[in-house]
Parts: sequence; structure tokens; C-alpha cells
Amino acid sequence: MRASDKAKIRQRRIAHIVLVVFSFSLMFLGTLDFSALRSARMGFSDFVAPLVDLVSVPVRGVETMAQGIRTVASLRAENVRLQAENAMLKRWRRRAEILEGENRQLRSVAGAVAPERRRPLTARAVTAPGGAFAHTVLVANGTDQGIEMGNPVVTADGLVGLVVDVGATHARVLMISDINAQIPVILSSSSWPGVTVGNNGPNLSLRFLPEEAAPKIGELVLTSGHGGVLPAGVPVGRIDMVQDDFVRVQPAVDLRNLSYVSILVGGTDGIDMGNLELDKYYTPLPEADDKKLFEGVNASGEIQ
Amino acid sequence: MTPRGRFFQQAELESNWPFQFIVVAIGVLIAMFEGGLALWPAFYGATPMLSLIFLYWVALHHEKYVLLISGFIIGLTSDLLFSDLIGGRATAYIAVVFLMELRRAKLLQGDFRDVWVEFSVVTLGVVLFQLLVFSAVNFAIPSLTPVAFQIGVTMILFPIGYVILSTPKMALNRIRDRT
Repeated sequence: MRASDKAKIRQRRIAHIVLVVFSFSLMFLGTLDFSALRSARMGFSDFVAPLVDLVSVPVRGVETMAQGIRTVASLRAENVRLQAENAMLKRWRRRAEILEGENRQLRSVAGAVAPERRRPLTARAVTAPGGAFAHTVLVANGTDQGIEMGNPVVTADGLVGLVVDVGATHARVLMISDINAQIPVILSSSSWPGVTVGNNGPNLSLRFLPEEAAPKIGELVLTSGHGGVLPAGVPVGRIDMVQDDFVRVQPAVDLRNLSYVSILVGGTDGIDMGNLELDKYYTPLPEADDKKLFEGVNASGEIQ
Repeated sequence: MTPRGRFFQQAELESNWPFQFIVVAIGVLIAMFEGGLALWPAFYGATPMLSLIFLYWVALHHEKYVLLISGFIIGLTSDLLFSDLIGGRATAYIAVVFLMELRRAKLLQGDFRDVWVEFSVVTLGVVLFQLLVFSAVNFAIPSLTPVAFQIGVTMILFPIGYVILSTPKMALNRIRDRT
């Protein structure tokens, strides 16, 4: 073997070692959550999202076709179901009108202030969770449209998640089913507070419920609004299993079928959205501490 | 006089660089397509690793055209698209290319069953590596159903991907033999 060949092999080996070390260090840099790395990542997403959109056109086409066939096949059954649902909705509407009037009267008596309205912004979902280790979705709206980190993302059915990264034209939404998503909630009928936690699967688990709470199957779980980041009263899901201390919640939104979402912009005055450390906004306290159940930052940015 | 030194070396008229670049470009496109597949409710949260099938096939049949950096770039694209831990899949793909350099000769002597079994082990290794890193970083174990589904679907789709990738190659070889 010639000396030049040996030198080439040595150079190649060094390059390989450098590449492996770089790849490993990327993993650790990623966990440290550097802002430069975040913005580079979001810049890449901004650049690549239109390409992904283009590449996934055939997938969308096949899905639309399959959906069309399914719709035609189930048209008759769907009609019967819709008629029944319509009748039920009419009843609910009448009930809602009565309750709305009652609510208005009560507010005028108590002098309560309605929470500041948030502006809904419709955005198209460009991607869907593809890996088993992260449940995020890229939506086609960014800082150009006024979206900020921490903005809640909803559909007509309920909460989808919240914005965790924003680029100029695209934003990344952390879904409620992600393992890092912890949503402060209350049980609709008893108002007991808790936290829903995702596990990168289809369902959520309900944790940190007080011992007195008796969750029922089918009970609606709503956002509590603690911390001020998420508005109160948005449906998160329904309890579908209670087994000893384990309470399972089925998300209100069919997260597998997201085409369009609404991003709620604004309504977070007093919260430093630029320095949003989500884990600090709402922290369940240890059970031994029976004085306070929850601790977090309120809408004025104060810890309480 | 014997020609010596770099000026007398044979000109590299048939460089591998363009092909290596094409392999990376196709790999990145396949990774993007993988992201698009997630829009299909059937693959929600666990798309088959088509980029791994492609990388494995190229490393097996065209080892000249796949470098460690190719694996790194394709893996990194997947990491960024799926918002996984950056570098997790990239490191795993580097390991796959490196492993294939060692195992290639033996695999080419065996039949398809050996190739499939080896691919299954590689898929398992890639996902387990990611799972290990993810669990260590997040101090939590994610739902294992999507993980198992992803491994299973990737293994099942491998023969189909292998045939799709091998067909143009075989057709080109046949045309070349005739001419």
C-alpha cells in the first residue's frame, strides 16, 4: 500500500470519527434546548414545509379518494344519524339559550369580567406526527400572521395543543398526546382539578386528582385556565377508563384526522411569551402538601 | 521512467460524487414522503421507515454510492421533520451504513431471507436506540404500541420496497447486456 493511500485512509477515518462525535453531540445540544438550535430547526422547517407539502400530495389524494368511497358507502346510515343528532342539537340549543340568559343575569349580579377575547386564526396542518417519539404537527402560519409561542390550538371539537416553535411562515404545535404535554384541567361535573399527560399514544392519562375526586366514565374534561396560557373551558377529552388510581382520557379531537386548526392569538397579556418555560407555568405540588394543590404563574405573571 | 507523483495519477473521469449526491437527494425526498405518510390516519404516530429501507438497499447493492455522511443527512432530515431528538436517527443511520460495510459481502452470498432477517435486526436496533436515548433524556417511556407498529410495518414493507428498488436496476442491467 502506498503512503498516499495510507494517508487517505487515515483522513477518512478521522472524518468518520468527527462525524460520529458531531452526531452524538447534536443529541446532547438538542436536549440543552439552545435558542440558536431552535431557530435553526424552525428555519429548516420553514424551508422544507412547502417541499413536504408537495411530496405528500399523492398521499392526500389517496386519502381523499378513500374518504369519498367511505362517505358514499355510509351515506344512508350517516343521514339517519345526522337527523337524530340535529334533533338533539335543537334541544341543546334551547337549553343553551336558557343558560346563556341565566349566565348574563348572574354576571351582572356578581360583577364578573369576561376574559379577554382571543382572535382565532385558521391554519392548515402540513404534517402529522410521524414518529413514535414526538407528537407535533407543523401548521402553515407563523410570526408573519402574528402567532407566538404558547398560543393555544383548537378545533371545533376541543383542544389540539399549543404552539412551541414559531418560524416566519410555519409553526410547530405540541399536541396534547405528546409525552411532554401536561394540560391543567378540571372535571366538568365536579370541578376537581387535575393534569392530563400524554404518552405519545392515542389516549391521555389524568393525574394529580385529589383523593376526594370521583371521576366517572364519560365525564367531560375541560381546561382549567390555570397559568393563563390556555383559556378555561376548552374540552380536552372524555374519561373512558377508571382503574384504581389510573384515569384514562380520550381526546375530544380526533388527532389522527387534522386538516385545519384554529390558533387562538392574543389574550395572554402579562405573560412573558418570549421566555415561555411551560413547565413553570403550572406545577402540581406533592400530595403531602395539603395546603395548596397547584402552583403556577397567573395571568399577571405572578407566581401564586 | 515510471510515472510517479500526483500529476501522473489517473484522471477521475468516472467520479462517484454525482451518484452519491443523488442517493442523498433521493433519501431526503423519501424521508419527506415518510412525513407525508403520517397524514394517513393508518400511519398516525408511526410511519414506516422508508428511508431506512432505501439506505439499506443502496448500502447493500451500491456501496460505492453511500457514505457515512449520506446516512447522517438522511437521518438528520427525518429527525428535523418528525421533531425527534435531533441526531438520534442520524447517529443510528450512520451505524447502519457502517454495519453494512462489514456485513455486505456475507449478505450478498446468502438468499433474500438472510437479507430480510438482517434488515429486521437493523430496524429493531434503530428504533431501540432511539427509544433508549428518548427515555434517558425525558425520564419517561413512551407508549410502546406505536413503536412496535413502526417496527412491524417497516419489516413487512421491506420486501415490497426491495422489489420496487431492484426492478429498475434489473431492467437497466438487461438493457446494458443486450447492447
